[in-house]
Amino acid sequence: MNSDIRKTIHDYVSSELMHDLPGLVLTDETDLLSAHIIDSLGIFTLVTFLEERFGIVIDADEVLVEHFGTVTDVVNLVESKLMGAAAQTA
Amino acid sequence: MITATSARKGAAGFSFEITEEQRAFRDLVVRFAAHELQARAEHDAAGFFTRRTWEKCAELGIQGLLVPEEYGGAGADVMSYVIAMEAMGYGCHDNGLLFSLNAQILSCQHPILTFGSPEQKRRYLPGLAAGRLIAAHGMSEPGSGSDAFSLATTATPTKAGYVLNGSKTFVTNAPIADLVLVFATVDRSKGWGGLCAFLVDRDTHGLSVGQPLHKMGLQSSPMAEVFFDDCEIPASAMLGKVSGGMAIFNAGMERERSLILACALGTMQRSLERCLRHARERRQFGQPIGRFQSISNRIVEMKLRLETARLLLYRLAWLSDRGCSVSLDSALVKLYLSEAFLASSEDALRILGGYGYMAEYEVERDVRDAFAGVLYSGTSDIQRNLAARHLGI
Repeated sequence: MNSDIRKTIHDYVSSELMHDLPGLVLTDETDLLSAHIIDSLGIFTLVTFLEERFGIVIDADEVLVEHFGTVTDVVNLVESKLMGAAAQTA
Repeated sequence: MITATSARKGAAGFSFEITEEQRAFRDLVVRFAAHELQARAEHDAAGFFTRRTWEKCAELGIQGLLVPEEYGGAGADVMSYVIAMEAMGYGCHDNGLLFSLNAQILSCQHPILTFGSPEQKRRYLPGLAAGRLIAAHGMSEPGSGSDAFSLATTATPTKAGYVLNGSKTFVTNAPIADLVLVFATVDRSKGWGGLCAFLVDRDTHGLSVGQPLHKMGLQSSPMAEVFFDDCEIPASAMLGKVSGGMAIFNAGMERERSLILACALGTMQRSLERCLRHARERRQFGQPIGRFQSISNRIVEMKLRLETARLLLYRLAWLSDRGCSVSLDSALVKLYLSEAFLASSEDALRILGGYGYMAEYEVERDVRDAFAGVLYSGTSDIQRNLAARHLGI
């Protein structure tokens, strides 16, 4: 599951949020803020994508650097949401 | 095949009518605004604001409309707020007062309600709803306006909390505020990731308010700069979490974009009715001026803008009350309503002619006040940029 989630997020970020950064190579640990990949509006388009793609809800008070600093951070957030949802339905 | 019955069934979930309860509420607010909130032209010229007027609005429940009952409010839905503000705009000619009210309710109370700790909610919301407290929102700086997240005000962590240094400009309500919601960065190198929000009491050492700024319009809405000079605040003053300032700012701005021009609907309705009366009663060249297409065409355009604006805003309220995202809608609503308000105010001035240019007719005031709408809460160009990004371009 992790690899699917990681690929989905990686593909979205590289295809939708990096139009103005053609020379940059995205890795799982690229700093999304200092590399100017996620700006103040891009973060919300990413949140909307994650909510729709994975069927999760990301509250506004969860929009923090610790959850959106790198692709790995985003993957961890999505996984924790999905695990939380699975635990509730079990 | 579509039958009359199936058509009626389909229409059942799509009504443009407001309820009897909402109609009565609207009429109540119009009567209140017309009788209690009249501000004459000389008040506008003098930048007239009184705390008593503010308190009267609170006594009716305006500031507390969107505040839950447990914090002294009415816990109303967004549609009820739109109806109330439309009624305020219809009954009250003082756009500045309405702007100040909305600035507090939408960009201060909403973030506290959404992100505040239980203690922060208990401390501030009842007073704000009751009119005992007035709040201001400080984001813009001399060097950062539309590029809001490039702000320079810093929040330096200390053992006890933070020290704020910097200044904010164009702060609505600053001269009368008891509380300032201020944004500062703990690390400029992190961009939006360093942004934090703080609730700072007016009497905090190191916080000072400049002289009132003189504006083109919205004269009765006091505005000033706010300065932070080694302003020490406790850690408990932070609203939300470290790096959460951007989400807090955006939440406040989205709510402001959505609703701050609801009162303009009422003002546009009142202006339209006045122009219709004038077009019927004023005679030139032997006939009512409404017979001239240069007048009647303008009035039709005013009507069309009003109805389009109303549909856009009511739809946004309907979506909000169902928990739907209105990120794109809020930009479209802000863009359309502000431009419609300005265009229709200018049309009204042209229809009233020389009388419209006289301050006592209060038409020129609407033009000056309406112009602010295409600038505050993000200019019209910024709204277009936001909408374009939401559309994926």
